[in-house]
Amino acid sequence: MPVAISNILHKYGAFINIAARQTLAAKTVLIGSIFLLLVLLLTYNQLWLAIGQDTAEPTMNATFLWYLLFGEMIILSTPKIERILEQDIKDGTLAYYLNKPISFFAMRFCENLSTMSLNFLTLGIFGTFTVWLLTPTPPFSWQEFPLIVALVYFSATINLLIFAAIGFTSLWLEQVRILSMTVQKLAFILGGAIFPLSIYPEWFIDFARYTPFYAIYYLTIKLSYDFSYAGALQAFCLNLLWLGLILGFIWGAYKHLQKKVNIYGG
Amino acid sequence: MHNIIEVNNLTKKFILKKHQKGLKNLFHPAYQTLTAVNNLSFAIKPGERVAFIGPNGAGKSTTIKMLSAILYPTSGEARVLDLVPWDNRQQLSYNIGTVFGQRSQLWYHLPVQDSFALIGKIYDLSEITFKKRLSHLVRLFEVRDLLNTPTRSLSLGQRMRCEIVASLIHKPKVLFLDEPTIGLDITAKAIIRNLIKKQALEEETTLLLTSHDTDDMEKVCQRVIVINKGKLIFDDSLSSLRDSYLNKKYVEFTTESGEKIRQEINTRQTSVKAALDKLVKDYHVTDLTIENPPMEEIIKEIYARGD
Repeated sequence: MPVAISNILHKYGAFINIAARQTLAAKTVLIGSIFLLLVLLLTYNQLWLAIGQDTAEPTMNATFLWYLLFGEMIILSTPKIERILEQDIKDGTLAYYLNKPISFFAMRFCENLSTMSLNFLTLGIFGTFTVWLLTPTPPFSWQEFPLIVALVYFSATINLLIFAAIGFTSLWLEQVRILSMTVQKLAFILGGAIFPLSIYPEWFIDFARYTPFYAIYYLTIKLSYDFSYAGALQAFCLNLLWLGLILGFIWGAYKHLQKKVNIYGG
Repeated sequence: MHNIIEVNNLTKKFILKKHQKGLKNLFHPAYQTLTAVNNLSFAIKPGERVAFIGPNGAGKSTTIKMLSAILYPTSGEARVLDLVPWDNRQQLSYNIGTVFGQRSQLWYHLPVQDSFALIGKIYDLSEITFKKRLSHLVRLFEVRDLLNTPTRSLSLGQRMRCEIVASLIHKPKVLFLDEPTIGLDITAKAIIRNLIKKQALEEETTLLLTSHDTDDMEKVCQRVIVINKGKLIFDDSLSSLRDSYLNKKYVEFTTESGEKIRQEINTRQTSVKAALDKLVKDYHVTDLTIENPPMEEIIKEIYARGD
């Protein structure tokens, strides 16, 4: 491996390692996320037992539980990178890293990717085990499971980048919290993170198609109940397209920031 | 000798939003321009130890941040190690070190040792080079006992010693120190000053140190640049500044009866030792401190003589 690439891996690998250790040290956050996911899954299952099982197909429960699990794995795994970046930009932390041989954005992204990956893994293990206990027959075959998980992980990474892009808007916005909340709500509705988009009217689905949430959430997590290799390829390609667009925005914003960032006083 | 730092007409203006009542800020925001650095020019030779001093708000930190590739200037030129700092950030970063007294480069929750290891990786140091270098700096700055302590648990003086070690791990040719003694007690300040000077002499590092404490420049530097309101008002050797403007000391002492007395010693007319001997003879002194004139007073005098 060329020295330059090996150095880069070594450098950013160190941040991934440190962030993982810090995530594991802050166990309460991780336990809180697991608890929230389990409550969601069990509540939904209880609702199904109370009102759903007499009126819908028996396989519907498994379909919804797996759909819900994959959606929540994306949402709950994502750390609040937008708030971290907002803080870094506003208090000048970013500027102090500009004279170090490191990309500040890559460093922060690696740290948060590390946290996200650990969250994803833990939620995945607990969630899969719980859903499997509640509905032993999944709507996909176990051979397809690794590919679905890999695509959901890819979606979670793009989701993390969307929130990183929101963090960069703090150069123009007073507070990014409102924008981040709006995007979260849009992801729930336009991405069908709560209920599959197929239950909405056609015009709504057509509109959702032009947003990143359609590919990141709906197309990917839909594979849990409607798997096909063509569908998986479509989800991957569309996600790749959005990844390019989001990275383009981040690159432009980061370049702009490096010139605009100011530190006042002492 | 070729200059290691060259600054020509460097200017930095900040545009600040003015506070206005009601909804005016939303529809018709008003701005004001603050000139932090105003047409500043100077040059520094390799190995020089230069104090960059001035009162609060003089533009010292802003200048250092432009020279260390953190801020873009509004106009003017600067070259550090033959590189334009803000255009060659990555390239320059391997050869400069920065210490900001009010900003830590160590990871708050990590043991100091881990922060040093991360910094070694940031600067692409091999394991062997890093260990050798760290071992030398740990001995020089006497931080061996602090290596396993998380940054958050260090005292300010201990933290500052570790900050300086962190900034020297990659063996920079130029070290920028922005208020390295701010907030420290007298003993800690003395230790830090001695260590900075010792290291600079040992490795022939060029130092640019900002401070509003005149003791920092006296103990560490050979040359002094004084700026006020972003403009250069003095640039000469420390001995020249001392002869011209630092020719008095203030002695504050407490007598046995609890009375606090402040006296001025003119060091041109009498030595500090002779003045203290007389004091001890005349009073029953229980406590005593000696201070240089404050920065504001020196600047006032530079201006007065300029007029």
